[in-house]
Amino acid sequence: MSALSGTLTLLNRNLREGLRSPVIAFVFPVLFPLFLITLVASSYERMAFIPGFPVTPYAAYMAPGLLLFTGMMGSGYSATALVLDAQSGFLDRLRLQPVRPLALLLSRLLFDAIRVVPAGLVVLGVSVLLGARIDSGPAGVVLLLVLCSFWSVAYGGVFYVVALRTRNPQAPLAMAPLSVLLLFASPAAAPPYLLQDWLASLTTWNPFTYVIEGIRALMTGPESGTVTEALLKALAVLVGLTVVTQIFVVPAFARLVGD
Amino acid sequence: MSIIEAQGLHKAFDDGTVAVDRVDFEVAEGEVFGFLGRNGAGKTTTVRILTTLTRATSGQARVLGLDVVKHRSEVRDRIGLSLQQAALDPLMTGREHLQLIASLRRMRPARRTERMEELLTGFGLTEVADRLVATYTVGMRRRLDATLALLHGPQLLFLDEPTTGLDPQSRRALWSFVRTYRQSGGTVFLTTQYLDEADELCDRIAILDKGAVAVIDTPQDLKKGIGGKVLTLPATPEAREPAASVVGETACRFTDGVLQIDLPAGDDVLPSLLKRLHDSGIPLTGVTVTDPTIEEVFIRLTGEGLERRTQSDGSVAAAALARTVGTGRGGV
Repeated sequence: MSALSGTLTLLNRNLREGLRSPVIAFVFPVLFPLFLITLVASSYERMAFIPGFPVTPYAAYMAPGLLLFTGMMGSGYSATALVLDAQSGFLDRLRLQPVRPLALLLSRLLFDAIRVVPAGLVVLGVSVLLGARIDSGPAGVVLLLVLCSFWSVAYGGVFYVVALRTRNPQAPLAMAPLSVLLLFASPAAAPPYLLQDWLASLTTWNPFTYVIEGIRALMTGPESGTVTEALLKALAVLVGLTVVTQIFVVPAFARLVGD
Repeated sequence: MSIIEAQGLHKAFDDGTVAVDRVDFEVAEGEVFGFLGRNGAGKTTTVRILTTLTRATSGQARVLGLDVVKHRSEVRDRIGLSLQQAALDPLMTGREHLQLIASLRRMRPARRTERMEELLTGFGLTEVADRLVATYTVGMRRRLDATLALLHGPQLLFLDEPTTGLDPQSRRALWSFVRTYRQSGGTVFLTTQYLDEADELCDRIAILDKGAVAVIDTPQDLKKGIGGKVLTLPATPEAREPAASVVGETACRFTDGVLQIDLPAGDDVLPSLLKRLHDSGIPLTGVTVTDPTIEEVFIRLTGEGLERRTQSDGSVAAAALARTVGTGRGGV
């Protein structure tokens, strides 16, 4: 069986499994960002009146960060499911089938990419209702959803590393607070000039920052440079983060499946 | 012809634990070969090596004439494995499990449907096929696990402690399935910690102790090999010491309110032995004399008994397993 058909068959199983246990995979990615966009964006509405604030209303400023946040909510679901498959012996059953081990991992990563799309659409729709705009049009919507999905895979890699190293299904879930750290150490909620100096300099080291700026460029235009430059920066960060995490994930997975 | 050949098979884990210690054995085509041992004796590790899931530290194993390391894919295509812990996804239905495995094995749609229905019917799972596995009893899970192992028509079936946790009726049904599978030409490698199961089902038994094979023989020859009959009488633990002074330390043992004494060969030993036991103060009520069992063989070889059978789940009437007759064979 080719790696592609094996991956798609297993992806189908992962999607079905996710739909039957939807809270972490599909509900979390919608709930928390929606809560933030409706409650926090309304509460901090006056932030946008600060002189020099780049975008109004405040919901339009916060929307890119919260869209990406959908990709971070529920991260660890797939990594946990993979470890549970290993513990239950189901992974052994799959290994005995003529399917390449890479397909077992790819199908999980693809699931991570797909599961954030419905959440992203919901959060985007609500953001637009609250005043956010998408200057780049329908193509921009597709691109920003692609960035969300890619972010989910890149960031999710951290959870796979933890899950595969510890082989403990609970361990990835304990990593959840990392998303809040990344969110607040980025220009998701406020532009760097409003942050304390140490936090503002931290944002330059946060990969989340560059992906937010890519999405922000698609929605309300770039803060500096061109849309293409912002997107290329975001893409470079996503590829880099994916490569770095997968450098650890792939050998750990190979050890898990004995290859 | 040998369908499994293991030579010097050895597995040591990173922490230094030796799970399998230079094991040699062969399994002939068409036989039911039993691997008998306590928990932790190395049974499952051996199965995992033979089914390509774990690599041996040293030694060589050939399954169906193929090296399990060099020809992993070919071996996987031709064997079926029912794992010790039924390896199922609780969020999938029974039918979805079969569909998933059939898809991964690229079975033709017509053949897939026919084979799935055949197995679901044969194993009495038709009515629950569209229910989530999370709602299945232990017996149903075991049966579904067996259907998944048989879906592609394997020539060789590995059953790793297949009856652990089953009620007696389901256990008998699974035994019946094993016999039927063998009659249809299949070979079975069965691990178990149940002595009666090994005695009942296996053509030959390997007794495994601390990772090493203590002996391999037919159940009949194993029992013959330990000599004479066994005298059994209800007793208190205190009776063991005077009995040991009469027959020797190694010839008597006390378990579960019963004193067992290995009788030396010869027809004339019993009256004098009974007299000496009586003289040493042991009450001789309820005395029976029986042929040795596999349990006695096991105890002689390993110095300890096996765990008692655990409480079964008491859930399944799996007589339908017996109807599986021959459905396990045939191409994809």
